Amino acid sequence: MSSEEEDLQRIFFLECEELLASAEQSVDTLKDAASDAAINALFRAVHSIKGGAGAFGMDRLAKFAHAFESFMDLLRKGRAALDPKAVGLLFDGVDMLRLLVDESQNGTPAPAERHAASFAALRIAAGLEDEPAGDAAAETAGDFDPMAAFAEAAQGAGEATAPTATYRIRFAPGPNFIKAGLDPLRIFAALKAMGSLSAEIDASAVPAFADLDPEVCHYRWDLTFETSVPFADIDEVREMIDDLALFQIEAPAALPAPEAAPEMPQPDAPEPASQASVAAPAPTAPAPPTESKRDKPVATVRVDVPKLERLGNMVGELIITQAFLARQAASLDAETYRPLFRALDDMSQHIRDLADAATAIRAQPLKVVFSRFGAIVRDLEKSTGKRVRLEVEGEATEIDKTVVERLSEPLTHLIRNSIDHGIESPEKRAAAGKNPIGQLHLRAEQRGSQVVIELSDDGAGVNRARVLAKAIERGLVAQGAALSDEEIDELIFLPGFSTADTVTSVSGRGVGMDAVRATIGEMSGRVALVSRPGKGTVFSLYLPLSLAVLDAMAMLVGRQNYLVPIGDIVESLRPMEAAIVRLDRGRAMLAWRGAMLRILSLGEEFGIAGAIDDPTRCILVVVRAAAGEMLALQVDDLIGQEPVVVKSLEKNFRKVPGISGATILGDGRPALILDPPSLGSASARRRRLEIAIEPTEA
Amino acid sequence: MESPAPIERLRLPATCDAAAAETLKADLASRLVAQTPVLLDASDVAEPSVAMIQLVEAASAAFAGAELRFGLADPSDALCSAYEDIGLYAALMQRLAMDA
Repeated sequence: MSSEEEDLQRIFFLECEELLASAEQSVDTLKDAASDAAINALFRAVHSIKGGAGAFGMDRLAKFAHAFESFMDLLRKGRAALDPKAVGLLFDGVDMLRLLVDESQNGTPAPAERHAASFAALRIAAGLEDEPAGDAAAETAGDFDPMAAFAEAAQGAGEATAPTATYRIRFAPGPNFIKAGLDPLRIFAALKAMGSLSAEIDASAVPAFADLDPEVCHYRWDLTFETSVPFADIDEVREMIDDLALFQIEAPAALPAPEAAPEMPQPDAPEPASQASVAAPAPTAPAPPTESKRDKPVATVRVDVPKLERLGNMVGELIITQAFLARQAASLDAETYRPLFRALDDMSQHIRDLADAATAIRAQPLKVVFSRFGAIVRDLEKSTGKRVRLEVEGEATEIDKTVVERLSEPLTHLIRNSIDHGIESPEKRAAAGKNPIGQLHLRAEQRGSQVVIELSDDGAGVNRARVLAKAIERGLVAQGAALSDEEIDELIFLPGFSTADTVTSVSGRGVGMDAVRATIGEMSGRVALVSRPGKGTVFSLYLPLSLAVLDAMAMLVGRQNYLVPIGDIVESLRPMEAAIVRLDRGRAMLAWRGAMLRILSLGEEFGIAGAIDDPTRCILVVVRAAAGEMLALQVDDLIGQEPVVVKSLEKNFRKVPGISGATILGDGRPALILDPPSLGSASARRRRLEIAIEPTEA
Repeated sequence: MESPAPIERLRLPATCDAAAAETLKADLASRLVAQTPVLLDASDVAEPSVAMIQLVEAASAAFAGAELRFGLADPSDALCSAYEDIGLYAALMQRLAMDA
């Protein structure tokens, strides 16, 4: 395979991810109510996968997609009913498509029996049972002919179901359009088969004869297209040439014009990647086509992740330089250098905006990964005999793309774990006076510079007696050790804890809870667990919004600098003596807003020489710790707030409890970034251990 | 005074795809260098392409710039339809007029 083909195939698999996410979302919509838009979206997703699979010779995927698409076509035309059985087929179909894409991409074979059953069911539902399975997809397997696909599209779109509408289409083939075996003439033929077409050509970009590459189309067209076929059929033509041409379907002059249209691509410019923007058609009859309600997609461009990472790194360097300049300027006279300070302020704001923009470019909504869990829960219901209702909230929350991509596996494991170990059987639930249907709530929200994902169930909670017994049995905990409930809960994250007894065929997929914690930790995040016997369990995943840049408060302890993410800080104060409750061995608590907060001296915690001992001479920084707990961090002084570039400590050194990363400050000195929740629990554990040991020593 | 070179008639193939356009480009370039006027016989064209039409139109401009005659003769129905579909029917009429 040539490198160009490899690139195309890589892009195809990337697109498959998006198409499958869209398909899953559509099926999820159809589960609740029939929707033309969802049916059409699902049809288009399956159709696109089929086309690509055929072009790359992915025979099994192409054949399956063909059967799926045929069934979708019947649904689309109202020739098959969207009953619960059909919805089940769609769910199975999308699951199998995902497995077959994985098979084509990674060589992981899709389960043979499941594939056979799903394929047969779809073929029967699509009325293809009399057609040999091999022939059915002949057009997609092996030598995919894009021209034949156009002919098929045009032929299949003959049935007028919508009022006559006039579309204005801007069509500009990209530099690889002809090289891909396409010809604008066939696009025109496909459109003419659906309606009346007139073309206005722009030949201004055609180079001189001597410089002309016959394999590059330099013509561009403004087309006027009158038709009564559904918009989806016209859009199908666009989808077939997506990435190879600009094919912008616009509302006619009679309707409000779409916003600024993208420039036509120059033939020697890079291929327009998914540039087509679609506006609503303008029907001449009163009833608009269903698709006219959908939002106009924003033009997009596909960018390699390494390029984004380079951008992020450069923004990071800029932030460090800006912080350095700000520190250097701090010693200058503000009055004398007023213009300089103003410029520094402006630059600081611009860099902050740039960092936000760079973060936003990499951000993706969590629905990309959340949309898969409906199908997983349904599968688990079948295999465990339990009944579960999954509620999803906050799926529009955005987070770094690399985080989104890596979240699927740990979240899947947590869901499997909750259903397998947490939620009880309907009988047990009924006996306990609970709703026989277990509730699983997946929720995401942005809190400051973090995204928090919570998965809660109303199951039995962690069986602590069993967990402790198992930990003792495996030598993870000494016989007779007195552990708190939280410490017992923490044991499930230990490596080696996930074994056959605790991990069934459902949750035992080679990913233990230790792997979940490790994966989240690699993304500079953390996992917390709160469990209540008989009431359920909440897993909370705390993830940084951006993996690169963080707003933090710099603090001084002795001569060391530390940073705390701004999002974790509730308040900072210099306490009066009356607010301090002194305990034994120099420990103290802070009376704060009616609550008593543990004071954690960073000087003591990290053994820093020269750190101030007396809390009343220090600054106390109230931070959010684990499970809703507040903690007062005792520091010598606050330096100030600054955006910092996060460097992984784990990659360069090793994981240190309580520390989420490191950075370079504006003065060039390194500083550690604290992770208050894990800092609090690590410190608490150490203290409990000390208390437990002391009587023995005495 | 030197008399103008006689017009040369080149026959376009039935399948006028991008590959055929590539070949035609080389043929026409050599005629340009040789200052030979060209008349393209398009009667056999069954499968026209935009690649070929674009080349013919670019060649037409190049020949005009070199003050050489260039035209199309007997275009097939398929070629006429293609010119019409892509919005170049008027240009086709001009090529035919040059042939006349």
